[in-house]
Amino acid sequence: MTRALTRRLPQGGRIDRKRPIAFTLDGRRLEGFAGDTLASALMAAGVTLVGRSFKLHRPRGLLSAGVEEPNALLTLGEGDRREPNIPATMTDLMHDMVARRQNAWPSVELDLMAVNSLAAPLLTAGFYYKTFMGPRRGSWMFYEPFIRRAAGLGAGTYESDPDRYETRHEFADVLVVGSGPAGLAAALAAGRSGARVVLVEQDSLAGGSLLSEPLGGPLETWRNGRLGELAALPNVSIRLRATALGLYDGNTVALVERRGHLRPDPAKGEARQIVVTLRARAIVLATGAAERPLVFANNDRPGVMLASAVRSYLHRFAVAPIGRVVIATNNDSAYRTAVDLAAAGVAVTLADLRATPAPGAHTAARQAEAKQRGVEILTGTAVIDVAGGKAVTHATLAPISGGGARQTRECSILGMSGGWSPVLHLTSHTGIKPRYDETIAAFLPGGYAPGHFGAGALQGRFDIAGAIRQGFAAGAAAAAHAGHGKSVGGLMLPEGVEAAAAADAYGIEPVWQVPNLPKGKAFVDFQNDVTVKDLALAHQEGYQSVEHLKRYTTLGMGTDQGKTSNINALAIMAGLRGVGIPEAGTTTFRPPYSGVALGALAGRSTGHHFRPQRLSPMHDWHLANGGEMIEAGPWMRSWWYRWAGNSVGKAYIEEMRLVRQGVGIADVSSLGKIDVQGPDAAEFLNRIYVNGFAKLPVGKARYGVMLNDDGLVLDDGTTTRFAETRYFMTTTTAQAGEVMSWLEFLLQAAWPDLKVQVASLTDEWAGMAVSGPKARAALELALPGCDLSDAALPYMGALETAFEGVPVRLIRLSFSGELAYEVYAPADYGIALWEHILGAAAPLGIKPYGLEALAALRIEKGHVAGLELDHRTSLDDLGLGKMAGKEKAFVGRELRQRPNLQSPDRWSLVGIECLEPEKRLRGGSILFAASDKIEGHGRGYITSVTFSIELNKYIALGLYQGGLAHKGEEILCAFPLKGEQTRARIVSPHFIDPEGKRLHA
Amino acid sequence: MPERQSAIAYALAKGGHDGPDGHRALKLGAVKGGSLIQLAAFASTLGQLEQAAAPLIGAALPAKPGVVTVAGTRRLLKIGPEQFWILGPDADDLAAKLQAGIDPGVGVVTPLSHSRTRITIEGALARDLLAKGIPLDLHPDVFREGHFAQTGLHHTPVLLLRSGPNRYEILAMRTFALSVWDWLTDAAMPWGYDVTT
Repeated sequence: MTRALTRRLPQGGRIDRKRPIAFTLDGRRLEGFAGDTLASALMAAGVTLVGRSFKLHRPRGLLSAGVEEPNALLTLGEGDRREPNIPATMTDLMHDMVARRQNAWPSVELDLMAVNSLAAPLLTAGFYYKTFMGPRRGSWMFYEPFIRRAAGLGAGTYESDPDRYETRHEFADVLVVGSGPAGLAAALAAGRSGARVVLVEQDSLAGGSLLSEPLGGPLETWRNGRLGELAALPNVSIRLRATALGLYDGNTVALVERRGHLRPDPAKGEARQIVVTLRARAIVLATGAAERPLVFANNDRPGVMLASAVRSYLHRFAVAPIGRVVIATNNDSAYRTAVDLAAAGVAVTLADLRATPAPGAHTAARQAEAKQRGVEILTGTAVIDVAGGKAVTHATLAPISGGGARQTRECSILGMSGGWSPVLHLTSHTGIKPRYDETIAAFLPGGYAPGHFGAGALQGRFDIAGAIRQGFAAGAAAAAHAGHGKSVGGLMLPEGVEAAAAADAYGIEPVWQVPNLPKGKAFVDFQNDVTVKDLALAHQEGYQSVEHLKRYTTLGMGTDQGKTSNINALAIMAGLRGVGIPEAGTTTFRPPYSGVALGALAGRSTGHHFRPQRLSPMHDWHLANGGEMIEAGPWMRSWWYRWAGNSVGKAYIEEMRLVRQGVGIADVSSLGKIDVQGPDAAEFLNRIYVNGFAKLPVGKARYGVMLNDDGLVLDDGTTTRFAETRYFMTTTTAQAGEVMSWLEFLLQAAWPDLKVQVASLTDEWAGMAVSGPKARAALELALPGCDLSDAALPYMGALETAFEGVPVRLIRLSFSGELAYEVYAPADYGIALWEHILGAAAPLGIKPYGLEALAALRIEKGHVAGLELDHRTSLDDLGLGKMAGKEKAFVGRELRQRPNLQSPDRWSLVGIECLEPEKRLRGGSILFAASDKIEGHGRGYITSVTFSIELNKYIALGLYQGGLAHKGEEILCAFPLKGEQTRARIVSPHFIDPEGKRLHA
Repeated sequence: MPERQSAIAYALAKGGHDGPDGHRALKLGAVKGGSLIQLAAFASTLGQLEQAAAPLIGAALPAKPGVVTVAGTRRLLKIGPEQFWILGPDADDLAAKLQAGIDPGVGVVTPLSHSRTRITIEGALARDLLAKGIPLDLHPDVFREGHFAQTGLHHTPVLLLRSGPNRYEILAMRTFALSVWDWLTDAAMPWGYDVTT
């Protein structure tokens, strides 16, 4: 066990000492309190080592107390709830929490993988690229799995996530991101205006930086007062544990709300995380700033922390260092940590990189206060190295000038402050480039989109009074932007807070890299093990752009996305290049701001909620009557029925026999159905179909083919004229939506002068096909009194009738090639009519048949369907060229004549019959001429295949180069997936009844 | 005449679900039967259609979309530049009257009673339930009683109508209705729901 560096103070902190919380770390039982984060509980328990680093397996401790944490990434939970790489700083401590440290074997304390550290000279920037790219192309693919195993952080689980996640839409007049001094003030101003305000805070408590202030002080009083005021405003809603992940166009913000602390029970529908899509009229960004580390040798040793984090742990969690603390800083802010530690009885040495006299307006006062508290202050002094392996033991200090004697100080904690970087991720998401501000040595948002406002530390206002004033003004401005101009009154500042001028708010004098560093790794990016040397190497190898630097060194990648490292790195790089920081530029921050579970992004779109299913009106009947279902696009369709066999292979043959020899009924409700009405409907149809529709008589149906404007086939179907100005169109199942949109587009954009209206009837009418030689007899039994004789209802005839008061549409047309009728009834009566026909025609042996038989029957007949209408075939490819009207205009007419579409070598529709009785044909087979070498893409492929009961062999439809010009030739059907080659012959696609005698029976 | 069979009949028969605390905070259900007529003019005949339809309906067609006009037992919705929906009782002869009374050169009538499944959601949490899937601001001051919107739910187009202080109706495509219902009942799990028929 590593030496403890910290301990819990006997009192203080925002923790509830009456509520102890037990948890385990690597199986060891530890205890913290309600109000602790996992990180603070670990520190209170004296755990110094929180993990091993990504590449070099160096021991690491906590760096921060917040979302920027690069080191303390733990694996939480067990079994199917195991989740890796969770920052301990952002995790509420919970009863029985199971935490494991990562990236070490056999244990974090004794990590044998730390030999990597010895090989460190090899593991420099670009190591993988340089080492594993050879000897051949594709070598990386070989090495990658091994490398991924050796490097990397925690491992997830392959079990499915048992938790539930939700999504929600939300709207607000004003969204305030961040609840620090600026955010609270902004929310209050906007709230007073009457605007609907949502205040989001990623922490479990509101207050931001105020939470790290001493309890019982004036800032705490101010915070409590403002929270009280906000709570009293019904139009203000505060969301804790809610992180703004991304800011998008249209003032849309993605939030993730974490509710794990409530122990949500998925069985009760409780969500573990909720992704909220929030649309706001105005947005106030009060996201604060993050402290930067300093770069010196061994600055990654456990115990080296951000100075502000030391203060957070002290005040918020009552965790104090054991023994002396050394503070290293280049600005005023770390003095507060020094003063507060000294007040808590901790011995403090403060090494201030800045020389005297004090550069900031308030520096002298800070120094005086610290001195008074007994802090040892060494100005013009840098920490250049720390000693200690798994825990820091002492710091080496040296004058910044390079001369003078080195000194050492024993210490348990080293707090460092390299300045503050505004958290400008959200403005960066909107595409606004940050701008560098010399006075605060940091990037600021380069501007704001209309309706966006910034305040506080994000704007470089690091003093509390300035942040509050700016926040209040931004809140009022945002409310006004959202249409709430009501006066918002004034706002009291906390007692004793002096207003500072912005320019010298914290007196920073940046020293990006301490000069004359001793040997030892000086880390810039802790999570990715990127050191100053790696940056130098990248520079030496010619990497100039920060974006390239990032990808070459992996700097700024990983779960923290370089929150602590980016600015230091690019400043050092600018130094190496001899250019200014603005010229070097910064990388672009992209969403998400912090890590988010994939489950949360999926929400409830999992399992059968992944996408909706379309169900026929007869769906329930199929389920109850032996129907086996199959997905067909969004539809569930009856595939085959148990009456016909116990497998699809057996059943569809029986069902085909039923239709060829008796009568069957199939559910065709999924066909697209479109109401086309208006005085110009005939003209409209005549323009969209290739064949003539102008003179279709009332009571007649006609088969038609539509082209898209490329001249390729869009869809086929039938349209029936039921009245002078009223038509009933059907489309294929697959193209129903597309045809409907196409028709609407043409009417609105191309021919707005046509008096035509279209409406989808797909959901309105249930459809069933009654097919077979006994189809007429069956319907005569079902619809007595309706004259169905060939004279009254000939082939391609249609009529409207009724059954028990239910309107019924009958169209005599055939997909199967047999005598057949399509029967339509309003959807809610679908089952009633279906059952009625089955019952009435029972003496004829009528039974249902499914999609497999339906498809097989049409292949025998040589009807094209979705597999042939794939948006790549032309009218001529499908053998339908003769249908095209010669005298009339129709969509696609001109482009259909493109030379390429008229080439005799195009792959066009053929029938294929199997010549080897013991073999079968397979869909997708590649077609070759008998004399061809079997390689490449061949001369075509099989689109649809079935066993033909009429011909007692496998038959297929396919596309073949030159098409029916090769009728009678022998070909080879190759199916490489199974290593099969089958001899076959090109034949007419009309395998049965080419004259159509059965249709007209 | 046979009875109409709802697309979600079996799902409705399954009944409600207790929330974690044993409560059933929401009421979900379906409007039984009901008629829906689509009435549409051509670009140049909107005025003529409005004139012709008003006496047959007994009320003027709404001039603006988004707000329902109540006309006796019927509700009139303008759903497009020249398109209207008329929601009426199950046995309504209005479609026939309109078909007979409106010149086909002026407008068209399309009965769509079976094409939509009307799902009802009632309760103080109805808004929260809808917020899980519908990207519209349903704040009571924004989406008021009688307001409606054509929007999307669970990847399908729906028409959402606020029919009471805490009551909403969703007109879902019939073929997708069961998926939408499943989605809604799953979303309602954390609060519990009763099924009203």
